[in-house]
Amino acid sequence: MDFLSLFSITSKLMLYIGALFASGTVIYLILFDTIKARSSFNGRRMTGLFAIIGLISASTSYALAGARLTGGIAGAFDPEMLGILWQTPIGTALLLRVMGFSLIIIGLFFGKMSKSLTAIGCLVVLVSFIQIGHVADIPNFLSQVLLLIHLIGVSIWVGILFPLYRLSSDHAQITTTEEIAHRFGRLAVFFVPILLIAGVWLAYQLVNSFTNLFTTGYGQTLLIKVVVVTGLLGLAAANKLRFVPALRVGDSAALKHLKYSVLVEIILVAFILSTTAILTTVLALPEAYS
Amino acid sequence: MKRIFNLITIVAFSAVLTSQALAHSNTKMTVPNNEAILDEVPETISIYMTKKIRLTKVEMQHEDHEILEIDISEYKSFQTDFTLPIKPMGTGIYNITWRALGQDGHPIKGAFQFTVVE
Repeated sequence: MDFLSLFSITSKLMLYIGALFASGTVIYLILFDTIKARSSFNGRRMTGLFAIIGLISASTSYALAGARLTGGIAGAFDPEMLGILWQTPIGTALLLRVMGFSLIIIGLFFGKMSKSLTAIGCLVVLVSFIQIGHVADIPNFLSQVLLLIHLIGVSIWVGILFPLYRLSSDHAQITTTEEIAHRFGRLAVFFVPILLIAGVWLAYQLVNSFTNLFTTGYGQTLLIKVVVVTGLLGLAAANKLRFVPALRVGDSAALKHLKYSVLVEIILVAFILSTTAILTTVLALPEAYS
Repeated sequence: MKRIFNLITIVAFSAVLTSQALAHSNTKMTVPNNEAILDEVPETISIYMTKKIRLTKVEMQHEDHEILEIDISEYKSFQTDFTLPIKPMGTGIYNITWRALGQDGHPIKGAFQFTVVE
C-alpha cells in the first residue's frame, strides 16, 4: 500500500472523528447534560478538542487531495494544485468545514449563545459531507438528505459514548448514569432505526446490486462495516435491556459492565469509521484500462 | 485489542489492493490506442474524456529510460480533449500515465501504452 493512500485514510478518519464526536458532544450537551453529570464530564472542553482535530484534519485532507493530483507529496504544497481543487466541490467542502469547526470553537466561549452557535457550526460541518463524495454523485436530492440524516443519527449515538464512559467510571454517579442512559435508550428507539434505514438505502444506491456486495472490494468492505455495526447494535441492546435496568436497583456490578460495554462500543465505532474512511478515500481513484 | 488492530490492518490492505482493480474510467479514447503497435513515433498523444477534467500531471516512460514529464501548461481549464506533443525516443514500448481532477472533485488517473516497431 502506498504511503499517500494510508496518510489520506488516516486524515479522513480523523476528520470523521472530529466532525461526528464534536457534533455528538454538542447534541449531548443540549439533550442530556445535567448539573450533576457535569462534575464527571466536561463536555465543552471535549467539544473544543474534537473541533480542533476536525479543523486540522479537514485542512490536511484538502492538502492530500492536492498530493493525489500530482502523485507525490509535493502536490500538497503546490499552490496551483490547491487552487484547482478550490474550483471544485472539494473547495466548497473545505470552506464549510473551516467555517463550521471555527463556529463551534468560537461558540464555546459565548455563554448563553453557546448552544445555538455550536449547533449551527455542527450542522455546517455535517452539510459539508453531502457536497462531495460518492453520495453527492447520485443524481437525486433524497440521497443527500438521507446522508445528512444518517450523519446526525451517528452523531447522536457517538456523542453519548464518552460522557457515559466517564459517568459509569464514577460509582457516586450511579443514579445520574442510569437517568441519562435511560433517556438515551428511549430516544434511540426512534433515531437508530431511521439511521439504519438511511444507511441501508444509501448502501443500496452505491453498491447497486446484491452481487456487487460480494464480488467487489467496495461491497466487501461495506459488508465488514455492516457486520461490525450489527455487533454494535447487539452491545447497545444489552446496555438498554440489561445493564441500565440493573442500575436502577443500584447494582454496582452493572455499572462496571456498562463501562466496559461502552468502551467496546467506542472501539467498534473507531473501526466502523476506519472502514468508512477506506470506502470513501481509496475507491475514488479510478484506474483507466484496468 | 491487538486482534482488533490486526483486523483493521487487514481490511485496510485488502481494500486498497482491490480498489485498483474495480475502479472504472471515463476515458473515451486515446490516440494512439492502448496497446497500439505503430511503425513510427507519433508527434503527439491525445486523451479524450467523456466528462470534463483538469489534467494535473502527464508522464511518459520509454523502455527503461527515466520517466519524462510531459508539458501540460497549455491546458489550464476543465475540458474533454487533450493533445500533447511528445519527444520521440525511437522504437520500443512507451508508457503514458496521467492524473487529473474531475469537475465533481474526484481525482482520476489513467494509463496507456503503445509500441513503436521498425
